[in-house]
Amino acid sequence: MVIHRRVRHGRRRVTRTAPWTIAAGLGCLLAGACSGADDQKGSIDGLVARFVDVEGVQTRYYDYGQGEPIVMVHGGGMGGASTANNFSRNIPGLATRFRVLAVDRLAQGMTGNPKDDEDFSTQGAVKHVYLFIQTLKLDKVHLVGHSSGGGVVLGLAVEHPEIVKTLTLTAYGAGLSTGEGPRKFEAILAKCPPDTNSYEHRKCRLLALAHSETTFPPDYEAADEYMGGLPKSEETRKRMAALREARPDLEDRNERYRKQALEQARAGALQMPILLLAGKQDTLGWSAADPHSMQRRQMELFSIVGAKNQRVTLRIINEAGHFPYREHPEQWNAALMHFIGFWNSHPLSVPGAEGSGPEVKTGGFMLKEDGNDAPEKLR
Amino acid sequence: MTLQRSSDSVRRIVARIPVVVVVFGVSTLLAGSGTASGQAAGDQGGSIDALVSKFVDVGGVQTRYYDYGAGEPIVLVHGGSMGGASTANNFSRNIPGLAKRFRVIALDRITQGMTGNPKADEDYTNRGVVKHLHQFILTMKLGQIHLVGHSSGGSIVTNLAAEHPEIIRTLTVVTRGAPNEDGPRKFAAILAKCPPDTASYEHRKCRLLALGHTPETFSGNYADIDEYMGNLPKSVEGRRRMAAINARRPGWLAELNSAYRDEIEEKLRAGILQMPILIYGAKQDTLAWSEQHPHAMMKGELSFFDLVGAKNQKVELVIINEAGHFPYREHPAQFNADLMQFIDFWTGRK
Repeated sequence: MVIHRRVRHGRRRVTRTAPWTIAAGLGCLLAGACSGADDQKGSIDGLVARFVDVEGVQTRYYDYGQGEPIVMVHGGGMGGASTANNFSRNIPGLATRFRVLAVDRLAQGMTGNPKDDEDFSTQGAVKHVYLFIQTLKLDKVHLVGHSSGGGVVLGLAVEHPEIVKTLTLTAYGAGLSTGEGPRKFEAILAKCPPDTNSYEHRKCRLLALAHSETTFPPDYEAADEYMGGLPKSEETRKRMAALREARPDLEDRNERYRKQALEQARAGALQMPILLLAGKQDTLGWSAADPHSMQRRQMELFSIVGAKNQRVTLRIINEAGHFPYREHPEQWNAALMHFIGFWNSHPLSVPGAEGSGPEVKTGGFMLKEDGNDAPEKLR
Repeated sequence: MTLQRSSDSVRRIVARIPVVVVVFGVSTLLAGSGTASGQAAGDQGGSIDALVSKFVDVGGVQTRYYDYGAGEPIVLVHGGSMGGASTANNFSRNIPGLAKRFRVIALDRITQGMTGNPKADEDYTNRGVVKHLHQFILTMKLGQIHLVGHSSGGSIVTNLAAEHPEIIRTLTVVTRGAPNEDGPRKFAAILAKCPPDTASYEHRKCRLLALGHTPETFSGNYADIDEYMGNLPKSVEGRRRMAAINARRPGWLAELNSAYRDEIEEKLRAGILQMPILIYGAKQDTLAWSEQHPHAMMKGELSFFDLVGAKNQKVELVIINEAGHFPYREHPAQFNADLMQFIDFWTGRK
């Protein structure tokens, strides 16, 4: 496989990754969360995972290349499928010009679980990504989020706009209206194992979102299954099931967080360049009656994040589903690097925007909780 | 060839626009030395932003164009309608940037700007415009080109690509317009303020200026120059001739256009367009906005995407923000960069 070969034979990568394999093992031992021998069991496509302690949470990530950091945040739900492996086909290409970091989100992949019940939430995932960036001393980053990871990076950008150079939301539906009537995806989901809390259901759901048979090859599935079966992953699902019983307000809490982030974005909290990068055939939000419902959703999101920010672009790739970056990695990478490159070299040079753009906010952005005026800080 | 030499000499100074004024004379001398097809001598009354117009005889039709830079040719085709506003000047802000890496050619469509009128009645149609564009490309010996069309020019370039796919390297269609939505359209309220006679130049000019997203879209002497071209005897004659044809044979030209559209659509459905296609839209394009539906414009862009993307993966849609019906005038650097990146990616350049 081309990507595999490029990673293994890249001279810089071989010299860079070898010491880190050892360091990663040490990290594991220090944290006591996994045994060194199993560190790379989640790795695919010749990539070598690293591990770092993020305020007590063992965190798996890939780290390749040099230059301005791009941080990639996958989608999916806690305790389920979707990990940093989603981006395995993008890392080699992006790493030719950037430092690329793809991280397993809190309670996903090989990253550990939060201590506090409160953090089994979007807000917990946001906090973890933020602390990951701080721990690695990345300073300002280009932030990329896929699907539900779009909600995570959007929340992070709203809370900490000062560390986000550009924001890319790929196949992020933002929980916006999908139109009337039944959705195409429901027919697909009906064929999956019925227990939506089970890993088997989540895996079936993940694979069903692919546009082509090669989106997720067997080695991808094997690594995913390995990570989904780790004791810490079983623990995640067990704790979340218990929490659902004891704290039925958790789902509402995620909803409120999502809506507040969008509200802040509409009010102009996000002044960095924003790229919406979607797949034309993404079935996730398709109503069976309207073949363009996903694109309409992208336009609604555009209206929100573009309400007070000229530097927003929507780009839609053809023959691509919910994972456009896996299905057309070179095309997707080129679109992302072009976007970053253009706005790096044209800082507010656009007619009409020159000198008239609102100042970029610095300092944590506060989100309102419970609809009252009491602000909630990140930490 | 003299033409090539003169465009090369102009290319070198495009980046330094103020110097162009000096080169104007030089370029005129160089190209005026008697080439059969192209010359920079002639009426510069339509030229804008220090660009120098050239003229070439295309099958008996005097055709105005800009020609800058060296490299693979990009041909830019403006929108509007016969005998009315919209000319090669639409692209005045894009030519210098694109000419740094490509040979950029923007021409006045038949009966528009300073390009002459067709002889045959049946050429006062989209088929006639496509024919003229094709003959222009052949006359200029451009070989394979990157083709860009705006608004109604988006249909023109799509039609040309469907008829002669072998000469198209990439196809870019900018704010091509949408089918009319039900109910009142935002643009209708704007048009209501224009002079009522839709066949008049004044109405067309008013319509053009109203489509700008900001007052800067058509700033400076753009409107004055447009008016100069729109009131040339040949422009007045073009409008008179079309009115006469319509009076003599009511609905005939529209029928020809409709039949031509069906003919092309059949080819598109069969998947004739296999070149990379960039669909470029603007978030605030008011042309087809229904008052109820803020994303009505997308309906046109997406149905076009459905059509040309059904059998061709190499189709992308890009929508930029704070841009109306002329995104390339409102954000020239951004448009140029997006276009060049698209061309570079699909032609394997870095």
